[in-house]
Amino acid sequence: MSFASIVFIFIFLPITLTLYYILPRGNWRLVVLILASLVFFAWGDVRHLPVLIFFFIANYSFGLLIDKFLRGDQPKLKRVSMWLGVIVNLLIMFYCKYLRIFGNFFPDFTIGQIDFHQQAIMLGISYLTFTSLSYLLDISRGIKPAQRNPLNVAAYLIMFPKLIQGPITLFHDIEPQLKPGKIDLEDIHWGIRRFIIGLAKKVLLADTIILVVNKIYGVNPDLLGAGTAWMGLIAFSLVIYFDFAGYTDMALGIGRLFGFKLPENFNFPYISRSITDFWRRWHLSLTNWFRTYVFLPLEFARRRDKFFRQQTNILIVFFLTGLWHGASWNFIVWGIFYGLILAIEVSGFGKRLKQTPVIVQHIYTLTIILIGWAIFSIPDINRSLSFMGALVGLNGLTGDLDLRSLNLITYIPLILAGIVFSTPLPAKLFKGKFLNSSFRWVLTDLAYLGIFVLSLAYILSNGFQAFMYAKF
Amino acid sequence: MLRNKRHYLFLISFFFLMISSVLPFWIIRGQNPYERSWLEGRYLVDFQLLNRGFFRAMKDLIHGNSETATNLFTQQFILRDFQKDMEKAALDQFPFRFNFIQIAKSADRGVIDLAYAFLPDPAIPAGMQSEFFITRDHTAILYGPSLYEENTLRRIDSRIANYAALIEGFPDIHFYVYYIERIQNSPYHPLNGIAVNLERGQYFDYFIENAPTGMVIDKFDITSYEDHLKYFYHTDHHWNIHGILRAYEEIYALLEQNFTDISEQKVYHDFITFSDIYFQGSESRKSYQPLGEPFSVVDYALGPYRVYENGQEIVYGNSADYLRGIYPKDPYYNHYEGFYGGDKGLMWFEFPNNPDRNLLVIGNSYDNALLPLIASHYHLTYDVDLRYYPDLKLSEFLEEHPVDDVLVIGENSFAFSSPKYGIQP
Repeated sequence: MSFASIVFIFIFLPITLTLYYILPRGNWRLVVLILASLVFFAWGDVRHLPVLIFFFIANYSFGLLIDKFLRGDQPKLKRVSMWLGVIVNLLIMFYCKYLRIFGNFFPDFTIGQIDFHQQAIMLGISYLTFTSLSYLLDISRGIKPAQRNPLNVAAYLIMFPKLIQGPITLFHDIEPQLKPGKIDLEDIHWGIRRFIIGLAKKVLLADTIILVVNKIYGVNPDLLGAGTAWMGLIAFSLVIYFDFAGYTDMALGIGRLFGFKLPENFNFPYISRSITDFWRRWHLSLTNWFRTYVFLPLEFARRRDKFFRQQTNILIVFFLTGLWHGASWNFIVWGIFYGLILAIEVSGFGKRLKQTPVIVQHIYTLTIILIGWAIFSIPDINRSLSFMGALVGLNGLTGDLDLRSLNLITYIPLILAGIVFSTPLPAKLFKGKFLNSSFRWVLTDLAYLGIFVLSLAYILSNGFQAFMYAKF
Repeated sequence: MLRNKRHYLFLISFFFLMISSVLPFWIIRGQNPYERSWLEGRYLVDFQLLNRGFFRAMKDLIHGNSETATNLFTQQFILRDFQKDMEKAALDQFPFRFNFIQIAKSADRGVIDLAYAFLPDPAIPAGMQSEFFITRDHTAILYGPSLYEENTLRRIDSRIANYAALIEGFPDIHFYVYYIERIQNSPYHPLNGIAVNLERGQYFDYFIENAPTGMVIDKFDITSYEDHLKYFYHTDHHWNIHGILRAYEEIYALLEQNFTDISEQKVYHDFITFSDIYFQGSESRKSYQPLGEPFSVVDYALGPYRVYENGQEIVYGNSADYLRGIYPKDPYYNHYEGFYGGDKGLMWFEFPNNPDRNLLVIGNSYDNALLPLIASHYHLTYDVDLRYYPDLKLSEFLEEHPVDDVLVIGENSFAFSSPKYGIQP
């Protein structure tokens, strides 16, 4: 079920919230949240519902097991059970996400009745796996105890606001919130505003700018001039940001309506001044997860290595980041590309970059980000190379298909609006002191309601579109 | 940051009122009163979903048809037919849906106006997701000019080869192509001077240069933008009554070349314009632009004839009702289809008093308006709409049906360029 669908906004959400609010705090509310999450998941992917339930049972059991060995001072058994839990989670992810790709590489390989080519990817599998791993690893490290109450584990793993597309939560961040407490008006108000902003990012910006992407990416790249190709790439960069950030805003907003403070995922990534800065602003929850559970342990384990330790660890992390998005060459190359750039930045280039004018830093960073999206966005290697050729002007500035031939002039105001809204500028302007506080408050809320109505009008006019990052 | 509760309650109460009022609305309203959306040319999806899926499956189960029940259940819930239909129904049945859509379209138009504010283009996009352009003076909606692609020439070669094989295989049958030149394929599109790499009639030129011998070809050509306005509806892709009459005359002349004893051309008396019809064609409907125009027809005396579809006699079109004053008045109603008749995969006309010469017409909705006129000169006239039979093997059809003349009517893709409607020998 998509957050930006009529069924979600006007059927699922009011029913779930009503039940949640009228029931007494504590376990009853968790039961509502869990049942709603199961319905939410089953609506989009009922075939994998048993896998989701298995995830919960396996992680709940492994959590108790690890905790038992930890308390019993049996480190070897604790480690074995922890690794076993990790392997089980990763195997499920491999089965539900990578098996079909495996089938593409080895078309004749079969096991029993399993048809690797038809293997459907489970919704939200990557997010669920990382959430589960955080649970097991936090228990194993003694940061948090295992949860005896199965409702707490189920709510942490499968609560619907973050189930399909994150943000990826760390158990030690969410654990204190698992006993639903009082939800005050400020939380609800904040949640509604955040939800509306996310909906608008998705519906008004991502789903309209994507028309540019579809048009430009839909034609033979050999016919594209450099101008058109760059327009397509900028449009893609805006779409993937607004689509994903929009989803995250909605997830955070809905989470807050249920009393949960989910972690932020974005902080205006396109105003970054370096790639290191970019990864502190883009998909923060994934970066945070890798830093906590892969990078820092690697740094610790290899603390005696002096030679390119940090650089190789970064490369490993970003190879895994690419792989996390999918086992196709474009994601892996994209990950390695960023790994290399970051390795170069930590080797001294980053310090030199800081000494250059700010505009140079922005140009450098945006160029790298756009090249990254060019790699990321096209899975077919030949097509990708042709598109790169168009970007560097191999087909001339205009090519055979210009902005008018593809009817792209229409979208220029939207792209400009997208660029402006991907920076903190609009928020800064609105926070200016041009109106007195009370009046501005009411005016702002009216604007939010207006944006909600406009977003709704666009959903009804165009139907709703799937979120891009849900497939990861 | 803390405000008093009043401040929070304003947004909270309005938001919850909005999101929680739709479900009760659906429940209280009950059955959806509107079945068809003329604007979208389709039936709206309703909420009778459980009746189609769950309850039917349960009934099957009770009657011991466990396999049928399982299949139905799988299709509905596992393969998500139910969920998809529910999503569509929620969109289609949303209260004040068209008002919301109008808001979105107005916003789209605002963006388009802004984008083109400083450009001299004589026509601008009619909608954000629309393939149409509306003239600056809001008098017509047009398709954008067609792009020229080298690959299309190979497709035309392939069609020419198909035609050649048919002519060779059926030497006793006469083959005709009547090409309808539309504004987007012509050199006269108002936007031709602005975009690059446009077709501008080059495909037909290529086709005619390489056409197989033995094929008689004519073209409904337009020689200016004014011609387009004269012969085609301003808000619909079809030809209007002037275009239909001209096409009939030209096709008559075409067929006459090998059909020397063809009966006299039919004559009409007066134009009839329906004063209470404001015809908003497909381009108006698809782009939600509320433009329209008068709807005119002519009345012919064709003599007795019958029309068949799947062996059953049918009444094709509602021209008789229209002429008696019985027709829908709904905005956006498709009067071209309503008056002349809708699309049929295969049908045939029988004029029992005519001499025994038979025609096969291959085309699409353009020929709907012409069929009775052309058929009035033949004994049997078969009509195949290629959209229903994209893999049509014409030789098989010709072996099974007594046909003397084959007439292909259509624009680019139907006449010579589409591999999808290849007219295989």
